[in-house]
Amino acid sequence: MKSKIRRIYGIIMGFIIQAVCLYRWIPVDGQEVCSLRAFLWIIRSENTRNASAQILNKMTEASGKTADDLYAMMIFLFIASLAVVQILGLIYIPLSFKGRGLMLCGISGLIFCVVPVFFATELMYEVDEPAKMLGASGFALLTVGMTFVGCRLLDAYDEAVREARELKERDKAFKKERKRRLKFKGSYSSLFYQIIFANCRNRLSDYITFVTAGSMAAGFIISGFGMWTLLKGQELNSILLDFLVLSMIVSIFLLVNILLFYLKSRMKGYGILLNLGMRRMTLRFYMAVELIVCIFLSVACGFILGNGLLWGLRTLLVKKLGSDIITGHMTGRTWLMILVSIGLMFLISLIITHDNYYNPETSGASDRAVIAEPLGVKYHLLYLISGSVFVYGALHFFRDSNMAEGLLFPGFFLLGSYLLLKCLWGALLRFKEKVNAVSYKTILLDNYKYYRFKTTFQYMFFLTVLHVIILFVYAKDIAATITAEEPEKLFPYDYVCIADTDDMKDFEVLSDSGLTELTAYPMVRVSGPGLADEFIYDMDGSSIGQHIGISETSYRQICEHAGRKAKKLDLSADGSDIHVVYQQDRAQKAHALGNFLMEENTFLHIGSPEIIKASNSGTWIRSTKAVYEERIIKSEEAFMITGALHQGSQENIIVFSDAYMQSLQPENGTRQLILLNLTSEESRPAVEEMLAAFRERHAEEESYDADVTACYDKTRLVSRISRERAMHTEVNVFIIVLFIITGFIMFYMKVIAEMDERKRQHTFLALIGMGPKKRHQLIYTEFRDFLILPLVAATLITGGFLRITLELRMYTATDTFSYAKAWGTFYAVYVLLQTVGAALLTYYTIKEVDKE
Amino acid sequence: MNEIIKAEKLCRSYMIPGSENKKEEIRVIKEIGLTVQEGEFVGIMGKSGCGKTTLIKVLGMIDKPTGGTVFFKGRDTKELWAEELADIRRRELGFVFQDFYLMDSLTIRNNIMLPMVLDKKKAKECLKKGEELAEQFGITHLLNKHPYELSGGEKQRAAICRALINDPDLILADEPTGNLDTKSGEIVVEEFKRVNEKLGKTIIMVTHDPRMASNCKRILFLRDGQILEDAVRAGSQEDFYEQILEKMKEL
Repeated sequence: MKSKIRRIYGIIMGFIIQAVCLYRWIPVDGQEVCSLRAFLWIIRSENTRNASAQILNKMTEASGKTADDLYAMMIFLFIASLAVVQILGLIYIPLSFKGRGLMLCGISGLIFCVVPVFFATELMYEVDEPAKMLGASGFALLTVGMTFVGCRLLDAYDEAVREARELKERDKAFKKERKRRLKFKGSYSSLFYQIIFANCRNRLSDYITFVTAGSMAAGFIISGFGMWTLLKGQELNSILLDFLVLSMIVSIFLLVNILLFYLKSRMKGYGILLNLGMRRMTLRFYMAVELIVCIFLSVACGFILGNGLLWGLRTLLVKKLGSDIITGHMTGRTWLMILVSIGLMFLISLIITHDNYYNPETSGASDRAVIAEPLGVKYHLLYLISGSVFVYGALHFFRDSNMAEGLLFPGFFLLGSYLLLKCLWGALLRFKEKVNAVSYKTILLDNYKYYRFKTTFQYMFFLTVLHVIILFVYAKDIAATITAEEPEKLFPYDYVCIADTDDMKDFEVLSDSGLTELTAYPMVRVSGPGLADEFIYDMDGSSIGQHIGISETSYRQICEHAGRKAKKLDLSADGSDIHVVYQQDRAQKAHALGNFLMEENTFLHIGSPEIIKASNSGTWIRSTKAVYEERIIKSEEAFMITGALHQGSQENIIVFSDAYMQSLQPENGTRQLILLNLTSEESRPAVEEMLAAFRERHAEEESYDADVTACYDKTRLVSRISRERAMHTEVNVFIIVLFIITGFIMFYMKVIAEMDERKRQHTFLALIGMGPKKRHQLIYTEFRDFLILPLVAATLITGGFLRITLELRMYTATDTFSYAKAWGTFYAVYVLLQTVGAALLTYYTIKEVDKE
Repeated sequence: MNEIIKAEKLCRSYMIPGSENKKEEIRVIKEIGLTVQEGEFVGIMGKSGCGKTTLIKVLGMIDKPTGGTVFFKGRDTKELWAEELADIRRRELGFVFQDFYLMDSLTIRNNIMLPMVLDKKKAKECLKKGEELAEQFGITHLLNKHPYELSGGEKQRAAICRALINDPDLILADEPTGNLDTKSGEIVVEEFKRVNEKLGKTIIMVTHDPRMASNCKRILFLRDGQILEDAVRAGSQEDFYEQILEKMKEL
């Protein structure tokens, strides 16, 4: 039965169709009639053709056209089809009372309506008033169309309402049925909670391990975020940001492992409870409560741990470097970010391990825990190709000085290594397995690799990543800081100024009065593509910088003054070739002038930076290339010939040919690179006074970049560098300690997680007659593998990346040797620590196994 | 007598771990049909790997069949929801496993009471029933101990107590004497006989031991996942034992 609305709509539309069709506009016998009457008049007449022609002639009276046979037929068909529409409309009205007739009337009406419209468009050029003809047919089409579409929509709506009602009823019935079938009245007695509590108490060590790892992870995030906030705006911030990213990754791995271990240890208990008829919902609720409590405790302990670490580090920094080192505060927003990050970390870990707890099947739960893991990988070729691409690509891009020393490419390298090593190691073990003579010899020693291939590989790889993080990312900087030149030696001059011709008088006065030793060289300001807007800057952050351009002759003189042998240069007269002297010490990461957007050469502009505004990156690149000229770096070196003014990020020396410098002078005015040395400490106040006035005159230059000033003071820079180095070392040591602890926890967790299995295995081995010495040998070999294999892999990876890094930093052989000594010492201590840790765990495991 | 459990064309296959190929499926039970009446004591025998444990797990609704149907008291278990199956396992079935399956973290008392506690029964009632059963099976003195402090026979008696606590209609035992010495095994089987005869409980027991099996009223001999013979005890236990031995030789 159709709905009331649908029926009412049908009836109304039926009447509207009639109203439209009753419109009187066809001239018949001196009066205007509707289409039905006109049609009846025609068929009642003696000659249909003449009657039609008579009507058409009346319609074309004004224009004087007379109807031919074709048009007479057309007007007849036109009137006839309109009449049919009207008749069908009439039939439709009673049918629509019952909600029927839609198909009959709608489709027929539509077909007949199309016919009059067709004829109307043909006849409209003949008749005097085409609007009437078009209106009559158009309105008829419109009303029939509206009737049909409207009724269909209402029918569909009725259908949807009916289906929704049925669905609701089914849902209601299902809920009722569920309620009936799953009725489980009452509440659990106190015994239930006592039993649950007793079960939990028995697993206290699992909770402690979970909470320890969880609080470590949360502590990392809190201390990392905390330090990042407190040292906001300092150069150190990027290290802390890297640390945050790394600690998030490490924490997730830690949590995933601890969750797997935790679930594995409880699987048997869950299986028993399900076998005995515990409802799944109850079990899930029980598991959820356990997890939530553990996570809550982890966050609470992590909060204490993180704040403790933060307080310790803060105190240490303030004590060593003064209270002004702290530039930020922990705000509500920081805590919100911390909470969101910790929540995210736990959420990701839970999602990764999701499959393991949604269904601890009643049968096979304990079987699943002992099923051997698949050996090797499934898609060898895919692993090999993608692994090689990642490894090769990472090394290739890491060699590019513009992108060097970031974490992205070592990260890709590790990803590639993961794929390659997993595939190759799996293949090697499969091969060994096939060659019986090889596999039988080491069947017991290698058993864990075959049986738990996936877990073993993941642990080993994770330990490798941890070693790489410590030995490369953090120890690299500590060794560099230890071996770097003393800050005082980085500045051959007490002051370095960039002066105009007008300033020279003042400097000469200082020199003439014996307060300073003055040397001056003609120079130009050289700038790299500057930032147009933040969007562009984000895309090409490496290319900003202002540098000092000097001639080849000046370069030779400055080198001579600094006691350094100048390089032999042969630069082109048009300024397209340059020699670059990076003024940075060995503790600094390699800088580059910046080749924007992967261009091979650098782009430099003579003069202060030109701010190029652009609405999009393409326009910006084109405009920038028009202003900044392409230069080829013909040779380069790293040395402080005027001083490590910006540690290589700015104020590097760009050497042009004498001819090119000569050509620049008249156009840009003569600027001078002033190098001042105090004759005695007493002369400092007078010099400072003069330089204060000088700075004021050049305040405009600082508007481009607040860091780039017209005058650099050795005392201030030395103090800044000493401070930065101290801060870097403190923070790096802090991070290293955290990661070392994480490594130990991971190793310990593995030992604990596998303890029961190991005990069973050793009991079996003892029963079949294997002596304690041989059995201990098994444990020793396995632990030795876990110590040595990741360390060897990490050493090779770190060695490779360190080599590239030192090359990029342009270390000399002597520099490399002293660096190797410092890094090697750290490495030795680290290996010793790892060995001691592994030895302790081996001893602990042997003791526990022997107890059994 | 009413049918308590009925299986029609029952199948159970397992995929080899790590394989996704259907061809590598292992068919453990192949279209088994059987009916067990109330009050029967049925033994299931066969060589290792013939599917005894799988069959009892499927009959006990611990495992799902991959084909065919199990009717429990006339109800098609395929039509039942997971929570309903849990309710049946808790209230109407009792399980005894070869490796006892007791929770080491709980005392024997708590282990025995567990199904009743999970059924939301009152604490007093649980304690009373637990102690009654422990007394019947002579383990009252062990109630406050943990499973790891007990011998195999004691553990199995505790497991039987646990299986009986909710007064189930059917007890399923998977090699209950498999981990026990002869004497303990005999005690356990005697208990089963008593439960079957005195308490009128239906028991389905998987066993390897012909001597233990001779206590059953009926034996289903399994070979390669199919029932080879359904033997019913007609004469004395000793005759039945001889009959079983003969059959085992054939197997």
